[in-house]
Amino acid sequence: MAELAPAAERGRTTIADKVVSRVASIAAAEMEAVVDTRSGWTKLVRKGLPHADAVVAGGTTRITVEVAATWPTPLSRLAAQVRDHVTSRVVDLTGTQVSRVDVTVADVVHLETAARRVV
Amino acid sequence: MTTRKTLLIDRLATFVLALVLLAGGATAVWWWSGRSVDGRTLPTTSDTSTVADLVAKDWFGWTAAAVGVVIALVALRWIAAHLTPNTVSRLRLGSSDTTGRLEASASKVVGAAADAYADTLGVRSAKGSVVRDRGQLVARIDATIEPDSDLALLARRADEVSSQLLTVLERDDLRCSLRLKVAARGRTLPRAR
Repeated sequence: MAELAPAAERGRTTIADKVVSRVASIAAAEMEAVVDTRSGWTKLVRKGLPHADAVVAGGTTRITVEVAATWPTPLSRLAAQVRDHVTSRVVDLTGTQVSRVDVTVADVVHLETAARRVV
Repeated sequence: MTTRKTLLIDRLATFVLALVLLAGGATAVWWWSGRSVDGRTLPTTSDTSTVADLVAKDWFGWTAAAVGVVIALVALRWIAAHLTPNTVSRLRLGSSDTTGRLEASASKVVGAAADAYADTLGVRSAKGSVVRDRGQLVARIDATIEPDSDLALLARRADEVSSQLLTVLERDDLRCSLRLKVAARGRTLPRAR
Protein backbone atom coordinates (compact mmCIF):
# COMPACT_ATOMS: atom_id res chain seq x y z
CA MET A 1 0.00 0.00 0.00
CA ALA A 2 1.38 3.39 -1.03
CA GLU A 3 2.14 5.86 1.75
CA LEU A 4 -0.15 8.82 2.07
CA ALA A 5 1.23 12.28 1.42
CA PRO A 6 1.43 14.66 4.41
CA ALA A 7 -1.97 15.97 5.45
CA ALA A 8 -1.12 19.55 4.44
CA GLU A 9 -0.48 18.38 0.88
CA ARG A 10 -3.62 16.25 0.55
CA GLY A 11 -6.12 19.08 0.77
CA ARG A 12 -7.57 21.78 2.89
CA THR A 13 -10.29 21.39 5.51
CA THR A 14 -12.65 24.32 5.79
CA ILE A 15 -15.24 24.63 8.52
CA ALA A 16 -18.10 26.84 7.37
CA ASP A 17 -19.43 29.59 9.61
CA LYS A 18 -22.84 27.89 9.52
CA VAL A 19 -21.42 24.69 10.93
CA VAL A 20 -19.82 26.48 13.87
CA SER A 21 -23.04 28.44 14.43
CA ARG A 22 -25.04 25.22 14.50
CA VAL A 23 -22.63 23.52 16.90
CA ALA A 24 -22.72 26.58 19.18
CA SER A 25 -26.50 26.69 19.06
CA ILE A 26 -26.83 23.00 19.95
CA ALA A 27 -24.22 23.36 22.70
CA ALA A 28 -26.15 26.27 24.22
CA ALA A 29 -29.35 24.20 24.18
CA GLU A 30 -27.59 21.46 26.17
CA MET A 31 -27.49 23.67 29.26
CA GLU A 32 -30.11 22.77 31.84
CA ALA A 33 -31.43 26.25 32.60
CA VAL A 34 -31.56 27.23 28.91
CA VAL A 35 -35.03 27.06 27.39
CA ASP A 36 -35.49 25.95 23.80
CA THR A 37 -38.17 28.25 22.39
CA ARG A 38 -37.95 26.73 18.92
CA SER A 39 -40.88 24.64 17.87
CA GLY A 40 -42.52 23.60 14.59
CA TRP A 41 -41.79 26.01 11.76
CA THR A 42 -39.46 28.19 13.85
CA LYS A 43 -37.07 25.21 13.97
CA LEU A 44 -37.19 24.92 10.20
CA VAL A 45 -36.41 28.58 9.59
CA ARG A 46 -33.85 28.67 12.43
CA LYS A 47 -35.75 31.24 14.44
CA GLY A 48 -36.26 31.25 18.16
CA LEU A 49 -33.75 30.64 20.94
CA PRO A 50 -31.05 29.50 21.45
CA HIS A 51 -29.53 31.13 18.40
CA ALA A 52 -25.88 31.47 17.48
CA ASP A 53 -23.86 33.31 14.86
CA ALA A 54 -20.21 32.56 14.18
CA VAL A 55 -17.49 34.19 12.13
CA VAL A 56 -14.47 32.01 11.33
CA ALA A 57 -11.43 33.95 10.18
CA GLY A 58 -7.75 33.08 10.25
CA GLY A 59 -8.29 29.90 12.21
CA THR A 60 -10.08 31.63 15.06
CA THR A 61 -13.79 31.93 15.67
CA ARG A 62 -15.88 34.66 17.17
CA ILE A 63 -19.31 33.51 18.33
CA THR A 64 -22.44 35.37 19.40
CA VAL A 65 -25.03 33.35 21.28
CA GLU A 66 -28.55 34.32 22.34
CA VAL A 67 -30.38 32.15 24.84
CA ALA A 68 -33.60 32.08 26.83
CA ALA A 69 -33.39 31.24 30.55
CA THR A 70 -35.87 30.09 33.13
CA TRP A 71 -36.95 32.38 35.96
CA PRO A 72 -35.30 32.72 38.54
CA THR A 73 -31.93 31.41 37.34
CA PRO A 74 -28.93 33.63 38.22
CA LEU A 75 -28.10 34.94 34.76
CA SER A 76 -24.48 35.87 35.29
CA ARG A 77 -23.57 32.29 36.22
CA LEU A 78 -25.74 30.84 33.45
CA ALA A 79 -24.22 33.09 30.78
CA ALA A 80 -20.70 32.22 31.95
CA GLN A 81 -21.56 28.49 31.83
CA VAL A 82 -23.00 28.88 28.33
CA ARG A 83 -19.85 30.71 27.21
CA ASP A 84 -17.57 28.01 28.64
CA HIS A 85 -19.68 25.11 27.32
CA VAL A 86 -20.02 26.57 23.83
CA THR A 87 -16.28 27.25 23.69
CA SER A 88 -15.49 23.71 24.78
CA ARG A 89 -17.90 22.06 22.35
CA VAL A 90 -16.84 24.15 19.36
CA VAL A 91 -13.15 23.49 20.03
CA ASP A 92 -13.80 19.74 20.47
CA LEU A 93 -16.07 19.26 17.49
CA THR A 94 -14.66 21.65 14.88
CA GLY A 95 -11.03 22.01 15.95
CA THR A 96 -11.12 25.79 15.50
CA GLN A 97 -9.80 28.17 18.13
CA VAL A 98 -12.49 30.27 19.79
CA SER A 99 -11.32 33.81 20.47
CA ARG A 100 -14.52 35.17 21.96
CA VAL A 101 -18.07 34.10 22.83
CA ASP A 102 -20.55 36.87 23.53
CA VAL A 103 -23.67 35.62 25.31
CA THR A 104 -26.95 37.49 25.55
CA VAL A 105 -29.86 36.26 27.62
CA ALA A 106 -32.49 37.50 25.18
CA ASP A 107 -35.51 36.08 26.99
CA VAL A 108 -36.47 34.91 30.46
CA VAL A 109 -39.37 32.51 30.81
CA HIS A 110 -41.51 32.14 33.91
CA LEU A 111 -42.54 28.50 33.83
CA GLU A 112 -44.60 28.18 36.98
CA THR A 113 -48.31 27.86 36.47
CA ALA A 114 -50.46 30.60 37.84
CA ALA A 115 -51.66 30.08 41.38
CA ARG A 116 -55.27 31.10 41.54
CA ARG A 117 -57.92 31.43 44.15
CA VAL A 118 -58.92 28.22 45.88
CA VAL A 119 -62.31 28.26 47.60
CA MET B 1 -32.34 60.13 29.78
CA THR B 2 -33.61 62.63 32.34
CA THR B 3 -30.65 62.96 34.68
CA ARG B 4 -30.47 64.53 38.12
CA LYS B 5 -28.71 67.50 36.51
CA THR B 6 -31.56 68.01 34.03
CA LEU B 7 -34.11 67.79 36.83
CA LEU B 8 -32.14 70.33 38.87
CA ILE B 9 -32.01 72.71 35.89
CA ASP B 10 -35.77 72.18 35.33
CA ARG B 11 -36.50 73.08 38.95
CA LEU B 12 -34.20 76.10 38.89
CA ALA B 13 -35.73 77.32 35.62
CA THR B 14 -39.24 76.84 37.02
CA PHE B 15 -38.27 78.73 40.18
CA VAL B 16 -36.75 81.62 38.21
CA LEU B 17 -39.79 81.76 35.88
CA ALA B 18 -42.14 81.77 38.88
CA LEU B 19 -40.16 84.65 40.43
CA VAL B 20 -40.29 86.62 37.16
CA LEU B 21 -44.05 86.06 36.84
CA LEU B 22 -44.58 87.02 40.48
CA ALA B 23 -42.51 90.20 40.08
CA GLY B 24 -44.27 91.05 36.78
CA GLY B 25 -47.70 90.52 38.33
CA ALA B 26 -46.83 92.58 41.41
CA THR B 27 -45.45 95.39 39.22
CA ALA B 28 -48.60 95.36 37.04
CA VAL B 29 -50.82 95.61 40.12
CA TRP B 30 -48.62 98.40 41.51
CA TRP B 31 -48.82 100.29 38.20
CA TRP B 32 -52.61 99.78 37.99
CA SER B 33 -53.17 100.99 41.58
CA GLY B 34 -50.98 104.08 41.18
CA ARG B 35 -49.94 103.83 44.83
CA SER B 36 -46.67 105.00 46.22
CA VAL B 37 -44.27 102.42 47.70
CA ASP B 38 -41.40 103.85 49.78
CA GLY B 39 -42.17 107.25 48.25
CA ARG B 40 -41.81 105.96 44.70
CA THR B 41 -44.54 105.62 42.08
CA LEU B 42 -44.42 104.12 38.61
CA PRO B 43 -44.68 106.54 35.66
CA THR B 44 -48.11 106.67 34.01
CA THR B 45 -46.58 106.62 30.52
CA SER B 46 -43.80 104.37 29.21
CA ASP B 47 -40.71 105.82 27.61
CA THR B 48 -38.96 103.59 25.07
CA SER B 49 -36.40 106.11 23.88
CA THR B 50 -33.60 104.33 25.79
CA VAL B 51 -34.45 101.07 24.02
CA ALA B 52 -34.61 102.86 20.66
CA ASP B 53 -31.15 104.37 21.26
CA LEU B 54 -29.77 100.96 22.21
CA VAL B 55 -31.20 99.25 19.14
CA ALA B 56 -29.75 102.00 16.92
CA LYS B 57 -26.17 101.22 18.02
CA ASP B 58 -23.91 99.55 15.41
CA TRP B 59 -22.98 96.57 17.60
CA PHE B 60 -26.56 95.76 18.59
CA GLY B 61 -27.42 93.62 15.52
CA TRP B 62 -24.41 91.31 15.87
CA THR B 63 -24.78 91.04 19.63
CA ALA B 64 -28.49 90.20 19.35
CA ALA B 65 -27.72 87.55 16.70
CA ALA B 66 -24.98 85.96 18.84
CA VAL B 67 -27.19 85.92 21.93
CA GLY B 68 -30.02 84.44 19.81
CA VAL B 69 -27.78 81.63 18.55
CA VAL B 70 -26.58 80.84 22.08
CA ILE B 71 -30.18 80.78 23.39
CA ALA B 72 -31.28 78.53 20.49
CA LEU B 73 -28.42 76.08 21.19
CA VAL B 74 -29.24 75.98 24.90
CA ALA B 75 -32.92 75.41 24.05
CA LEU B 76 -32.08 72.52 21.69
CA ARG B 77 -29.81 70.95 24.31
CA TRP B 78 -32.55 71.30 26.91
CA ILE B 79 -35.15 69.69 24.65
CA ALA B 80 -32.74 66.86 23.76
CA ALA B 81 -32.14 66.19 27.47
CA HIS B 82 -35.86 65.49 27.82
CA LEU B 83 -36.35 63.52 24.61
CA THR B 84 -33.74 60.83 25.18
CA PRO B 85 -35.51 57.67 26.35
CA ASN B 86 -34.62 56.64 29.88
CA THR B 87 -35.36 52.95 29.41
CA VAL B 88 -32.44 50.53 29.58
CA SER B 89 -32.46 47.80 26.92
CA ARG B 90 -29.44 45.69 27.92
CA LEU B 91 -27.83 44.93 31.25
CA ARG B 92 -24.20 43.83 31.45
CA LEU B 93 -23.72 40.74 33.58
CA GLY B 94 -20.99 40.30 36.15
CA SER B 95 -18.89 37.58 34.52
CA SER B 96 -18.06 39.56 31.36
CA ASP B 97 -14.37 39.51 30.51
CA THR B 98 -12.04 39.42 27.53
CA THR B 99 -13.33 35.97 26.51
CA GLY B 100 -16.81 37.33 25.94
CA ARG B 101 -19.38 39.94 26.78
CA LEU B 102 -22.33 38.67 28.84
CA GLU B 103 -25.57 40.62 28.72
CA ALA B 104 -29.26 40.23 29.43
CA SER B 105 -32.28 41.85 27.87
CA ALA B 106 -33.45 44.18 30.64
CA SER B 107 -37.10 44.24 29.59
CA LYS B 108 -37.30 40.44 29.37
CA VAL B 109 -35.76 39.88 32.81
CA VAL B 110 -38.01 42.38 34.54
CA GLY B 111 -40.91 41.14 32.38
CA ALA B 112 -40.39 37.66 33.87
CA ALA B 113 -40.32 39.20 37.35
CA ALA B 114 -43.60 40.93 36.53
CA ASP B 115 -45.04 37.60 35.33
CA ALA B 116 -43.97 36.00 38.63
CA TYR B 117 -45.68 38.81 40.53
CA ALA B 118 -48.77 38.55 38.33
CA ASP B 119 -49.19 34.97 39.58
CA THR B 120 -50.00 36.30 43.04
CA LEU B 121 -53.59 36.00 44.15
CA GLY B 122 -55.27 39.36 43.66
CA VAL B 123 -52.90 40.65 40.95
CA ARG B 124 -54.71 41.07 37.65
CA SER B 125 -51.72 41.96 35.49
CA ALA B 126 -48.17 43.24 35.75
CA LYS B 127 -45.52 44.54 33.40
CA GLY B 128 -41.92 45.51 33.94
CA SER B 129 -39.12 47.64 32.54
CA VAL B 130 -35.72 48.96 33.56
CA VAL B 131 -35.19 52.71 33.59
CA ARG B 132 -32.52 55.17 34.64
CA ASP B 133 -34.18 57.40 37.19
CA ARG B 134 -32.10 60.30 38.50
CA GLY B 135 -28.88 58.38 37.92
CA GLN B 136 -30.16 55.17 39.54
CA LEU B 137 -30.80 51.92 37.70
CA VAL B 138 -34.39 51.02 38.61
CA ALA B 139 -36.34 47.86 37.77
CA ARG B 140 -39.92 49.09 37.66
CA ILE B 141 -42.91 46.77 37.90
CA ASP B 142 -46.38 48.22 37.37
CA ALA B 143 -49.16 45.95 38.56
CA THR B 144 -52.94 46.21 38.48
CA ILE B 145 -54.60 44.61 41.49
CA GLU B 146 -58.16 43.65 42.38
CA PRO B 147 -60.04 46.05 44.67
CA ASP B 148 -60.44 43.35 47.36
CA SER B 149 -56.89 41.99 47.25
CA ASP B 150 -54.84 41.29 50.38
CA LEU B 151 -52.29 44.11 50.57
CA ALA B 152 -50.15 42.35 53.19
CA LEU B 153 -49.81 39.35 50.87
CA LEU B 154 -48.99 41.63 47.94
CA ALA B 155 -46.31 43.40 49.99
CA ARG B 156 -44.74 40.05 50.98
CA ARG B 157 -44.76 38.88 47.36
CA ALA B 158 -43.25 42.19 46.23
CA ASP B 159 -40.35 41.60 48.64
CA GLU B 160 -39.94 38.03 47.37
CA VAL B 161 -39.98 39.00 43.69
CA SER B 162 -37.58 41.92 44.14
CA SER B 163 -35.25 39.64 46.10
CA GLN B 164 -35.42 37.06 43.28
CA LEU B 165 -34.72 39.79 40.74
CA LEU B 166 -31.56 40.82 42.58
CA THR B 167 -30.50 37.15 42.69
CA VAL B 168 -31.17 36.75 38.98
CA LEU B 169 -29.24 39.85 37.91
CA GLU B 170 -26.61 39.94 40.70
CA ARG B 171 -26.22 43.69 40.39
CA ASP B 172 -25.72 45.79 43.50
CA ASP B 173 -26.59 49.00 41.70
CA LEU B 174 -30.13 47.87 40.80
CA ARG B 175 -33.11 49.24 42.72
CA CYS B 176 -36.56 47.70 42.50
CA SER B 177 -39.73 49.76 42.39
CA LEU B 178 -43.19 48.23 42.38
CA ARG B 179 -46.23 50.41 41.71
CA LEU B 180 -49.73 49.11 42.36
CA LYS B 181 -52.84 50.39 40.63
CA VAL B 182 -56.22 49.26 41.89
CA ALA B 183 -58.54 48.11 39.09
CA ALA B 184 -61.66 50.23 38.74
CA ARG B 185 -63.94 47.18 38.86
CA GLY B 186 -63.48 43.83 40.53
CA ARG B 187 -63.91 40.66 38.56
CA THR B 188 -64.80 37.10 39.41
CA LEU B 189 -61.70 35.03 40.04
CA PRO B 190 -61.50 31.44 38.83
CA ARG B 191 -62.51 28.87 41.45
CA ALA B 192 -60.99 25.45 42.00
CA ARG B 193 -63.35 22.51 42.11
